Amino acid sequence: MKLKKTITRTDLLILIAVLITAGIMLIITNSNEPAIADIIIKGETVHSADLSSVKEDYTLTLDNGITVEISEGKIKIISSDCNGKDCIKCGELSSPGDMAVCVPNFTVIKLRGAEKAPMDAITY
Amino acid sequence: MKKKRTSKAYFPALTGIFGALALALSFIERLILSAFPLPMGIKPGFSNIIVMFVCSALGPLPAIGIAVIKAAFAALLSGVSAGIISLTGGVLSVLTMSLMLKISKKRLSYTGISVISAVMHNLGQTLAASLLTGSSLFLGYMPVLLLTGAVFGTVTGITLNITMPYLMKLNIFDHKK
Repeated sequence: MKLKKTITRTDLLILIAVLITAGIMLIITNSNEPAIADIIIKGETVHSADLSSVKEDYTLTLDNGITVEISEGKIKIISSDCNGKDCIKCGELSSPGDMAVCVPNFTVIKLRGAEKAPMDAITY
Repeated sequence: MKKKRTSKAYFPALTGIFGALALALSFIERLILSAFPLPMGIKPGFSNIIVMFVCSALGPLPAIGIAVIKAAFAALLSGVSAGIISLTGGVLSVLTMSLMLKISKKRLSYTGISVISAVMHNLGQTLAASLLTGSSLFLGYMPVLLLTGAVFGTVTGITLNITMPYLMKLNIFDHKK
């Protein structure tokens, strides 16, 4: 076999490059501003909630059977009829950039910053 | 003297055998994940060890065959959308790894190639999920898919680096001699 070493210098460079990019992306996408949650089905926003102004917790059942719980500063998917339940595993979303996705139901919950348009934060 | 394997059934048969192995690893992975769940539906992708081994030992076509088998399995177990996501990620990662295996020479070991193809696998999956849901998921998933690609790609690569010399001694790979 041609490839013998367990890890070469180029391997390490690639690994470090990927990890650094991940770190930069993490810093860029992470912020603690108050967030607005958009519930998007098939590319269309069906509901928006300003999470900082939620006084009382409430649940919202979407047409496709997904139930969302919204409380002050937080939103999470609490039930869904899909197979994988990956959307529930996304857990609680609280800061801009957080996402919960349910592909079988074509549903995405995305959090964006309340002040700026979402793209302003990542312009480079 | 070694027999020459010229039968047309040689590659399809091996693809089937390794496809079954990949499914077995997927199943074990499901068992492990049900005991120790990872957030956001992250999966280690142990079956990619098989895909990469096949891509390297038999070539890209049987490896794509295994990606298709894996996708069919995912579609049966978790629905059509899971199958589409699995197929897009699988095919993109096989294409990347066969290209890397060709051009990398001795600069990269399986570890580097595996990390790159793991990242491409995740990008392909995100692309499919973005198209299916109709909204771009790249930004939110980027850190996660890069990190998991790096971690599990390294695991896959190191496993292959260690096991490959022994596996290549198996009698079934005579076609290369």
